[in-house]
Parts: sequence; structure tokens; C-alpha cells
Amino acid sequence: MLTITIPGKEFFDEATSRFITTDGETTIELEHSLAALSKWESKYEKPFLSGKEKTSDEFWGYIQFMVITPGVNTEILSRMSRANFDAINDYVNSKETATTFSLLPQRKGRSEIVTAEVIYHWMVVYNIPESWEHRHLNQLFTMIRVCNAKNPNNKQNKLSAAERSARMRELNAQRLKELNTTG
Amino acid sequence: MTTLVWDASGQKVLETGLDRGVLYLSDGRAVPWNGLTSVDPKPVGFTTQPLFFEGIKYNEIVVVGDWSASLKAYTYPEEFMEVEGVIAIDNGLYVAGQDFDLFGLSYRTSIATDLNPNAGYKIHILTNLTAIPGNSSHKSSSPDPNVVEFEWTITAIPQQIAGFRPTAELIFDTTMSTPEFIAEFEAILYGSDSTSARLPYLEELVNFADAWS
Repeated sequence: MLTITIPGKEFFDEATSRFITTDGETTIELEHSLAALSKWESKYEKPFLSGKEKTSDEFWGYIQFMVITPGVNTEILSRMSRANFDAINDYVNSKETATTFSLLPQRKGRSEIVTAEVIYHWMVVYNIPESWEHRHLNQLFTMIRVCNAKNPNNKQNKLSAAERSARMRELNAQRLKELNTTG
Repeated sequence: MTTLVWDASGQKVLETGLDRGVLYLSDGRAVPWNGLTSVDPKPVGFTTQPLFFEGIKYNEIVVVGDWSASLKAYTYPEEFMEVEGVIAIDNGLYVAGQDFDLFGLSYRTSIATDLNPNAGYKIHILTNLTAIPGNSSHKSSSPDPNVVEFEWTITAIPQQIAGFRPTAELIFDTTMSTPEFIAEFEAILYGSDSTSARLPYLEELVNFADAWS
């Protein structure tokens, strides 16, 4: 969850030649989650994770769905500063996890179009609690990938002998360098 | 006559950590293996065959199986790739998929007793080994991939030693020996100012020990 403070309304007072802020600051909470993504897809009827550029309307629509603080209207959101946008951008792109997948086999083949329902399906398959729909989306994806990687029935998790050998050489070389040892 | 005594002081002996790993390649080179973390023997195929006469068991034949072990390491010398069939050629290029090579290995395990935590050590000597990489593809999703250990299953071809069954393993318990012999023995395995480290035939080591006694 992200908490940002939106500045108050700003006017230019010609009498004093100064900018005056009114209405006070507003603190709001946002979440980049499956719940927000699902609402967005319900409204725009297209996959959010398509990789295609979002229009200004679609972008604003998503920010509105991200807001979880009740009573926040579009007028308040329209006062967001550049710093507010940067904070949202950093939050959306953050990994939100310490888990890494550098050694997992790379998936090959055509990638599936991922929609909210597909993600909900993965949650059901891997018994991920419903409350995770409010976790950071990247955290949820990490959880799904971990479940997938730990699934012994998934043939894609098996490395070929050549892949495994190459991974081992790569990791060993890295460790030899870090520990400054020959073996 | 004496009565048996249990739990006497100094009788509780255990083997602890592993160190001084040495990899011996088939061409005679010996390289230290600092990242060796465990060698866990897992013999396979050892069974007993019962013999019956008129419905009564009168004997058992022990079928001796193969020596095998699980080898784990945090790092391994680049030379170890050769035994896995990966050959280094010029300019950092490696050719994979070549024949696996036999190798030897020695390592120490510490011996501790209830009276002395540093009672001595054993040197384990293994020869004619083949290493098959373990299939640990699922370990890579751990929170920190850097703690994943490399793992191999190693098997051995026993060597002939006159007067004994063929074997691929010798164990030298230094607590049962003299400092002079230990020094001479280690000079063979680890090298000295005048000699290079090497792994001789096991029979040579046995004969070397016999000559000292």
C-alpha cells in the first residue's frame, strides 16, 4: 500500500503577488493490486497487462481504482503533484519481494494473455488466500511463480542437463570471484 | 576379569566438520577444494542372502554392494569441470558433453571426544570416482539462491589391494598414529617443499603404512 499527500488548492493572489494554498493537504492510500486491476478491466473491457500504452483516460481510471481511501473524488486527484506521480510510479514498479528467479528455467513458447480472471484462476489453483487480491500485484505474481516453481508436476521446471551444467558453471564462477578463491 | 563399563570418560567419540578437501585429477594434478561442504556415503546394493536347509536358516551370505556418496560443495575448482566432461580450451571457451573423467578426493573430518574437542582428525581418501550432477532444479526458487549448494552423486571403481577386498576408500585415523608418520603421509597427499601433492594407488599407501610399523 502507498500513502501519498496531495497538496491543497493553489491560487495566485495578485494583491500580494504570492501563491496561496487553500483547502489543506489530503492524504490518501492507494494499492496496485489485483482488485484494482479487476475493476479497471471491468470498466475498459481490455487486458490491463497487455503491454500496450494506456491512454490518458485509462491511466486516470486506473489511479482512481487504486485509491482505497473512501471519499476521494477526482477533483482531489487532479491536484496531484509531480512528486505524487513519481511516488506512484516507483510503487507500481517496485518488486516488493526478496525472492529472485535468476536460476529458473526460461519459459519458451507463446505467452498467455493475462487478465484478472486468469490471475484469480492461478490463485485458486495454488490455494492462495483471497486476501492476496489486495497485496501488491508484483508480490502476488512472485507468489504464483514460487508456487509454480515448487510444483513438482510442472515439466517446465526441469532444467536440461546442459542448462543445469551451464547454470552451475555460472554460479560457481560468481562465487569463486566473490570469495576470492580457486575452488 | 573385568566388568564392562559404559559412558566412561573419553569414550564418547564423534566426527565433526569437514575440511582440507583436495581434488586429484587423472593426469596427476592436485588442487585444493575450499568449498567442499559434505561427503555423505550412501552405499547401494548391500544385501544379505539367507540360506536354508530343510526349512531352517543356517547361514547368510552378505552381498557386497557399491560404494556411493552424495557430494556437496558451495564452490568447486574449475578443474572439476573436466571430470564432468566440460573441457576448457583457449580464450575462455569450454566444450561441454565430453567424456566424464575419473578423479580422486581426500578430505579431513575432525574427531572430538567428551574430554577433548580437538582429539585429532581422520583423512578420507577416495579414488576412481565419477561424479553425476544432482538434479536440484527446484532449489533455485529459494529466497536467496546464493545458499544453494552444488550436489553430485559420486560412485567409485574399487582398486585391488593385496590381502584385501577391492576398495575405493581408505580412512586414516591420525589419533592412532605418530606425528612423524602423519607428516610423511600428509606430504604425499598434500605435497611438501620438495614434492607435489598426489594421490597414489591405494595399495601404495597401504604398503607405505606397513613399512612404518
